[in-house]
Amino acid sequence: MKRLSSPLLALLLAAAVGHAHAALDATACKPRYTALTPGAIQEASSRVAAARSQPGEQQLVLAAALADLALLSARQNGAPDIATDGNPAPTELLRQALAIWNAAGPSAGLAGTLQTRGVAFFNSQQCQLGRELLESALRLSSTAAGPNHPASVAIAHDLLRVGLAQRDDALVRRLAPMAKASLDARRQPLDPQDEQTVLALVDFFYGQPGDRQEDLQMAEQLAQRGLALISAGSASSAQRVLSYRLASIYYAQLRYAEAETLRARLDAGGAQPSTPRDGLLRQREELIAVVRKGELQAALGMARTMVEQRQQAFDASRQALVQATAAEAQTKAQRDPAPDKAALAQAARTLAQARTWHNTETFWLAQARSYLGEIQHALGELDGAAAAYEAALAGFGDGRSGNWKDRTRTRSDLAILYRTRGDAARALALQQQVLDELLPLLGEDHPDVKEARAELALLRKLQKG
Amino acid sequence: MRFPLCLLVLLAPAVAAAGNAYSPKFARDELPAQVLSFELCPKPAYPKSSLRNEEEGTVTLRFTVGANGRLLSQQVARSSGFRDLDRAAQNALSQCYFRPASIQGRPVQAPMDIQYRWVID
Repeated sequence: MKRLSSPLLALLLAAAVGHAHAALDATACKPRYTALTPGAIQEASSRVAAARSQPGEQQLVLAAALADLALLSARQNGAPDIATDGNPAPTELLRQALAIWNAAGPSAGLAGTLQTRGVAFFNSQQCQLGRELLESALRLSSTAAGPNHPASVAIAHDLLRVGLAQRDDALVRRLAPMAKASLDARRQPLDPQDEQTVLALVDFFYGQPGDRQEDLQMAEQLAQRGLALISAGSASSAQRVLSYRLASIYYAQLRYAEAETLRARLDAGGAQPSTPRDGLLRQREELIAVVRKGELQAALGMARTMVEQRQQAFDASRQALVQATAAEAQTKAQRDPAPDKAALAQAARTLAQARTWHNTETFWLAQARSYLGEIQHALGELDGAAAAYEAALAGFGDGRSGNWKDRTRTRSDLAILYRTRGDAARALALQQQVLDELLPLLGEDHPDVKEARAELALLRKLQKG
Repeated sequence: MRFPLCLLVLLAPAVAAAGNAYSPKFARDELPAQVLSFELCPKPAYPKSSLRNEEEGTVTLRFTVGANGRLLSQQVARSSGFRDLDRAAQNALSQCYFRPASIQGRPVQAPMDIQYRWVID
């Protein structure tokens, strides 16, 4: 038995897998071979031959027989344009059937027949043939009963599903206003199939390139209406998924506050797993709260304590690393008897764990030092701040690690400090490094990039002056 | 006497701005970019060839999320050592929905790292 796992995502993904309400199946329109009952094609061929020999009214029987044979052949061939067993290809069989039906004159009953057959083709992954039937059904129904008749709207819904599955932008755009109008008029809750269609429609408009306002507005209105019609079954996972979609739409519309409110409400419903980092994060949050209150002296004490604690943890991790390194070397050097594979693997594992722990503690100590430096900086204790920043930067390491955020912030802080002390040359070099690292990550509009540019301009001016 | 008074009023903010007023940046109101909800992410499927070859590993992906929550770019920050595993994680996780990072309540562009570990057992 094979099992897939991920330490970071497993928990969340596991929850997602069970409830994922994906858009319409992307494979729905990939015709595939389906095993048939032996003799099914021959029987259908015989019915076509028998119907062909009947005159007049029996033409509709012939159309039905042709469509049956087309569906069976398509399922057996796995493709609509391959001829087998001496019969024409399914596409040709259906063309003949449609010619008969279209010549029969519009009627609601005939439209219903074509709709049923169209859905059967769609459900057999024969989207193109299903689409041709549904297009004819819609035309017949619209002529016979009117385009807004419930029967016509139901056919258009089925055709829309085909369009979504085929990723046919033109068809979806043509039918979406009708789908929206019918959603607006609807009173009864959505069934699972309709939920899926609404989700797929929302995705379609949200996923259009260019963030055009009208597409996002359509996505929003569909999501809002869908949510109103799902609400009856409030425990529905579709409601959660659609709500998250709505939050994404708000983000895309740059309605950040509304998106955040909605997201916070949704996230509050899910349990947050606790991690070993929780204690550190709480400590950091408390420090931030004190700084925001402007109580810098109190914050200074807290930051010093934090650095001391992190230093102790760092020392312990370093000691563990030294021990694990020595133990591994000893295991490798062991003779009479030589160490077995399991002992070597265990020593290597212990060493790797010790290294990971030490790297983590190195980062946390550096981070605590950078916080201390910033508080000292704000209090005007520039010597202490500079020492803390320099020590922090040594801990953050080079640009290849993922600590870009703390590293660039600390570099920028130190550059500002150097500038304050009148050391423009060192400040300039540091600030340039900050810009070089931040620009590709954050883009021109980010406040930190703008600040780095402004600082560089000021420093160049100071150097010239 | 009116002129010096006006000058003082106008100069006051300028002096403050040019001075050494520094406020700790780590305490600013800042939220990272993140996956909006893993409920909206398709589960990465183990590539058949990787299963056959018993490939395992951890891939770190770096996504850049725009201020509008859209995925702007993605790259493999640290490979699992197997191209198929990297690509499968990338394909699946890039279909997630994202929440943009923000500073002082304003959405901003920012990168985010996601790690995915492939294990067969």
